[in-house]
Amino acid sequence: MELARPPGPFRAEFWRSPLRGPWLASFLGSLLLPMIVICAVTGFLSHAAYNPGLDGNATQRAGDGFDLYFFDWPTSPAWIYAVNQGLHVITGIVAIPLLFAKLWSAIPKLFEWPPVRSPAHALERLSLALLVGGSLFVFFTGILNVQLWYPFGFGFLPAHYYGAFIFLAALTLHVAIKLPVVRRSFGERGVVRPLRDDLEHTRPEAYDHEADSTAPEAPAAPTLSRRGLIATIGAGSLGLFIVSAGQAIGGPLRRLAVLAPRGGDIGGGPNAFPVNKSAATAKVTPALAGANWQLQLEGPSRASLFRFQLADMEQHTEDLPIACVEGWSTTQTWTGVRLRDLAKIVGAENATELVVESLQPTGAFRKAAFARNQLDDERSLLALRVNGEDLSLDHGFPARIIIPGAPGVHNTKWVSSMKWTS
Amino acid sequence: MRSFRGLYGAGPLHALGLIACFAVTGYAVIRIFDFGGATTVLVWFACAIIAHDAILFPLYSAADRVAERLPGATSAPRWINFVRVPAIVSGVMLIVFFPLIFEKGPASYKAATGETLTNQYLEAWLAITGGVFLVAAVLLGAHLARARRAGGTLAS
Ligand code: HEM
Repeated sequence: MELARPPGPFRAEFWRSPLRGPWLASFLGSLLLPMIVICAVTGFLSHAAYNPGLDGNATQRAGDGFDLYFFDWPTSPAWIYAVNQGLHVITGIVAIPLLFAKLWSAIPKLFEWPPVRSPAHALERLSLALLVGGSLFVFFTGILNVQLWYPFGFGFLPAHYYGAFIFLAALTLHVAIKLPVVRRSFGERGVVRPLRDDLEHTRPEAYDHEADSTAPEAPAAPTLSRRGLIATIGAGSLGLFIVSAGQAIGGPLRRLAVLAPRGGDIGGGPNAFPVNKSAATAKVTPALAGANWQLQLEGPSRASLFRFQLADMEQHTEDLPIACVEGWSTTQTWTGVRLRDLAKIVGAENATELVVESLQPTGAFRKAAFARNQLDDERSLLALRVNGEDLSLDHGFPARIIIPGAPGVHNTKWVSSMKWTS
Repeated sequence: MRSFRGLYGAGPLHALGLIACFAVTGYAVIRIFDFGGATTVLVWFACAIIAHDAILFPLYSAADRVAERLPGATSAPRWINFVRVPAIVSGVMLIVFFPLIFEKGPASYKAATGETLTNQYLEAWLAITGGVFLVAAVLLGAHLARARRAGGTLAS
């Protein structure tokens, strides 16, 4: 028995936009795909940057998950992590107008009738639910995370990471299934030829009942050309770029980044650059970081050093970026002791791993482990000063780690102990 | 093969692709279960689809249809796109940055950053919205003047 077709969006006459059709879906998909690829690659690299193979570093629990990273995260170029995270967050934000446009172009298919034609059709629609839900889930958990808003009752990192597996699997399948449609549409209409038409020459894509496409059966007269639609989406993306990208790119753009969590104006002075986690939040008090503070070093031998003893050692100055996983970064001039010089004190010149702990009593990143290439780099410092002044408490006084190319959260602040192992 | 296609509705490659997709999904769900909160993740997946397909999409398309019917929107002088573009520019900023704009996470945010930032997000968004609509209004003014001049020559 045939089910009666319900009214409204289940009727072909409901969908009247003359711009929808397989060419438009193909074109929007082809714009979206490279952005998703950049976002995905930088996302997985961002996970690799934690050196998840080292003790306690993995945010996804090393070993028992899909944690196949076979390389130590490099220290050169020093901006590698800043650029990686900047790309990840910027592409994730500016892709949003395109994602909405792609969903708009495809939405008549949500109301297909009959809802299920065959087992193949049912399974494919299930995979499309994973694609649509997965794309919105992964993009928006990331977007909420950079604004430090966690209304969800689950851990952000595993949900965003494994959510991406679902999204990317469904996307790969979707692209494979639609490839013939993409090739046919581009073959028939050209890849960009429909963009030449102004409003007067804008014609609907041919409705083809057999092909079961999104092209309208009863198109209305166009009120916007295809290039007008693409330009509007581009304006939306450009707007998002302008108000947010400056927090990663810096320079004059930073002042324009008025909707970025770490953009805009941040005042003056040597310590005036963004703080990811303040001393108050980390529960590090001035007393803990005061005159009684001693740095504990442990290798083949042990040592304890007061801050004035560290300041008496040979000081080195490096311009290095500090870059947050949330996409903002800033390059500052750091002065302090080389990690290599500290290792010598406890006879740990040949150590292959260093674990740094913070005064911070609790928290996911109170501790970080570093690989040999990071210890051996002569730019790797235990910094005491920034831009010629002592670190402020919020920036890690009495001393913080600064390692070229390392994730911001691994540049441990308020260092209490350092332990080298082989 | 004829019978497989007849039963299933597509070729075997299609079936293999779907099996692979669901296998990866199953693996990811199990991993998320390991971390707890997996049911919430599934609920949020569903909520994301509902929020877009059943709330956002109907709202903006209804708004567009209402606007299209106003006088002069789609026939001469055809002002509709002078409203669509600024509305979309401002709207996507709101959708992406509403937690900052409405200070959704103010306690954790200000505490975590030591309140070093002085951005006024709501003010910034309102100013941008005003700015893009103003630019669109100026362009529309130029468009109307051009249309009037063209209309004038036609009439004479
Ligand atoms: C986040 C990414 C994407 C989402 C959420 C998405 C969503 C959808 C949905 C829900 C449909 C309707 C499915 C159906 O035919 O029943 C569709 C159709 C389609 N998609 Fe995608 N898609 C995405 C990316 C892509 C990409 C990267 C491409 C191509 C390079 C693409 C090309 C197409 C084509 C050609 C159609 C068919 C349109 C028609 O039949 O008229 N999509 N998409």
